[in-house]
Amino acid sequence: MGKSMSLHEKIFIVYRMMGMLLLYILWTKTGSDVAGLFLLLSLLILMLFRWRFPKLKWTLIIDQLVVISISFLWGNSQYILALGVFEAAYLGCPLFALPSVFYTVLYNPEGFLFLLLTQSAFAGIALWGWSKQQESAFRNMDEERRRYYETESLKQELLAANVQMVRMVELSERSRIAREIHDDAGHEIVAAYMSLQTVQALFETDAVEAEEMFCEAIERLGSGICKIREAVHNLTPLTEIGVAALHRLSDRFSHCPINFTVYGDTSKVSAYLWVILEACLKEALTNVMRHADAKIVRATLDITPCIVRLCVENDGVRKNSYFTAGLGLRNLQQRAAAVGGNISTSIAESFRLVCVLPIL
Amino acid sequence: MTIFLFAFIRSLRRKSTLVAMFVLPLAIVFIRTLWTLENGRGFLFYGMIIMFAAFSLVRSIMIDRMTGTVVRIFAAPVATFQYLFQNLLAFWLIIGVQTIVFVVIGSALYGWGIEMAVRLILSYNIFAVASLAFSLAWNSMFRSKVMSDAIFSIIISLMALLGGIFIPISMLPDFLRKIGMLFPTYWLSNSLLFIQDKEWNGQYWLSILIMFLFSAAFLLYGSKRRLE
Amino acid sequence: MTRNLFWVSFFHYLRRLSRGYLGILIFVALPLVIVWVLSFVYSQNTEEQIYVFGYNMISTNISIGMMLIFQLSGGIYLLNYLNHDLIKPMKWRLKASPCATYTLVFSGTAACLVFTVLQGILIVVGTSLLQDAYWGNVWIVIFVIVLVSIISQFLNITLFLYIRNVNTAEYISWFLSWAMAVLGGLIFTLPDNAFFSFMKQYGTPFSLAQSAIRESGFLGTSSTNMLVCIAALLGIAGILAVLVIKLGRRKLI
Repeated sequence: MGKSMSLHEKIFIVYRMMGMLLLYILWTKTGSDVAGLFLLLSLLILMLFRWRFPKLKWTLIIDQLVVISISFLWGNSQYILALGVFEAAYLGCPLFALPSVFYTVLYNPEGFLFLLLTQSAFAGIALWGWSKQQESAFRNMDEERRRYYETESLKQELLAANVQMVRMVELSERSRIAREIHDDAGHEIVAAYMSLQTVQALFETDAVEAEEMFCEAIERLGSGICKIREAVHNLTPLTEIGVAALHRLSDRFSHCPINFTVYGDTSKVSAYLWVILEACLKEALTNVMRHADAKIVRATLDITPCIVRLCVENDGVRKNSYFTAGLGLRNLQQRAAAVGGNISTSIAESFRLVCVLPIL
Repeated sequence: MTIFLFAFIRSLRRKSTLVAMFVLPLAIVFIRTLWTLENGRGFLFYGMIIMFAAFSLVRSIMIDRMTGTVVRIFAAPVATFQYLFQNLLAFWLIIGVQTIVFVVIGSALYGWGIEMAVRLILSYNIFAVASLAFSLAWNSMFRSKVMSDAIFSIIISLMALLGGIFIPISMLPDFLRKIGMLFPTYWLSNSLLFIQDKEWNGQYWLSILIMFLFSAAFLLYGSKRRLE
Repeated sequence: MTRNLFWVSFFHYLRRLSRGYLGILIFVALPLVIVWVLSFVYSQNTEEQIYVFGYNMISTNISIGMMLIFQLSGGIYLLNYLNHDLIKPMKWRLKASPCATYTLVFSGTAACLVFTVLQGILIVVGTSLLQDAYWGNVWIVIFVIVLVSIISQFLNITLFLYIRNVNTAEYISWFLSWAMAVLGGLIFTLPDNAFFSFMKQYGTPFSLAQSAIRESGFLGTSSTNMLVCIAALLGIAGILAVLVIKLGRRKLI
């Protein structure tokens, strides 16, 4: 059960049933009391046996031997050899039809039987070819499907790896900053602190040395501040990221007036979320340029302790146009899903794109 | 043999089985007119009782399949072969014991003699196997009990009609006889005919052989594993 | 109000009945096939005069018996509906409907009655057209069919209310109708003594109906005999009706 039969299998079964029915009618017409029934029953049993245990194809030989031996008792039964030949051809093992061929050549080389066997062989071969063709088509389809699923899962993995990598980069950067501060500026400041403590004690006893040490401490502090400034300068990225990038995008947008507002604390949003938000805004603005004759675009970024929400609206919806997510938007949706967020669109009164991402 | 044991106990618990197994045969074995060797309808009626008993026994396999019990059974390390074999063996044992009891009572009442009794028991037992196999194949074709029962009642009427229950098979015209030969009941009445005539020739053994072939075919068809 | 509900449920039952092709197959086609085969075989194997006034006597005998057997089992329809609607799956849904239980049972009985009577008439028409069966007086036959059908419905309700198990009741119903046929001498010849000849003539609803149909035409000897049989059938139907009312009040609530 479960697996439904394909058409050629059904034809195969119907063909055999027709053969058995014709044999039965032949039997009722042409005497031969029990031998015919015995033949019918044995053929039925062997047929069911092969249906039950499909691997035992060699039992076809038994079929034909039974038919041949019965044919000496009841001559007409030889015609059912056609069924054996047909089945052998369909199952793709023509060697199993040899008993029928020998019998025909030896006993009935020119008669109607020969014609019948040839016809059955052709029918069987045609059906066999069909089944092979269908099998290979199915195999191709399976292969395609497998490849598709593999690509999909690879994509999901890449998106997950993206988030992971951003976090790793952040961590390594953080540890680099910590090391820099600790190794350079830290040492200077600690030394200055210790000098100042000593100065505090020396003020009462040895004022000259105290002053000397005080100057030294100030110098060390100055050098420490210098190092911190340097480190900070080194740390500042040259490209704009975060909310600045969004601002720059909206500033450069010249198609129509844009109103971009930000609410909340932008420092809470991690870098990998900024990347998605930026792509989102870019996609929305591109869509505005391409499809909508908008008068004004409103973009809002809301940041709460738990989520960040970007909403881009424009008032230019064409009449009678329906919206389906294009490739760019679908990719964005998958990226958002990979970080646990969601992107949805609506075209109720105005075109609106909302991107909601969680802050972890 | 756990499944065997449970199938045995389960079958004996059902009232319909008990009626078909023990009340009906005893009811007809004491009606003297049925058992004269010339008329001999009783032998065939008893065959029909076996058929009905087999059908109602095999019903439990169908119930297993419909209620999903069979899925749970196959969740255990049990092969289809084991499940079917042990169930059918239990059913066959019940019918077999009943046949022996019946034939012993009949022999005591009507003096059938040892050889006839043995042949009767053999005939009935092979027929019981064929009926069990037939019921198994029958029930594997249907998903609803009502449908299966309704069509079975049609088939069993035809079997009775063409298998010599209503009319002796010798009276059937040739083309009806050749339809009747496709049912095991025909061969049961054929073998019973030769038992009653006390003719021990090849025809009796031929009937047994053909009933055996029928059983094989039905078993092959009915034993395919189906979980639904 | 009650009358309207009665008609609504009556037509629903009729619709349900007409949908099942299996029932028609069992109760019309099967008896026709059996009658055909049996009369064919017996016609070939007898030396007696088969045709009397252009009617086939063998098929007449067999068709009367078969028609009555299947009429007597016709109540199985009702049995299944009662089980389905009032005992098992639909019980609470139908109890929740504004239709009173007795209206439902009554309309179901009426619908099954109409349906089985139609089936009986179909058998009569079929056998008389195809097999030259002789059915005597048509109106008497229809009246007898109605009576037998009523008896069958009531008998099945009684069985069902006593046994409460639809399968067992169904088996017993079939068994009873075949047992009646056996006592009526249809299946095999019975011993020739007073008890059996009484049973064959008047003993069961089956034999009463058989006698009534036979006496209504040229097969019979006296029309008083026919009237006696019909009166007896009416009496049985009345007794069963009282029994059904009593049992139904007690058990079908």
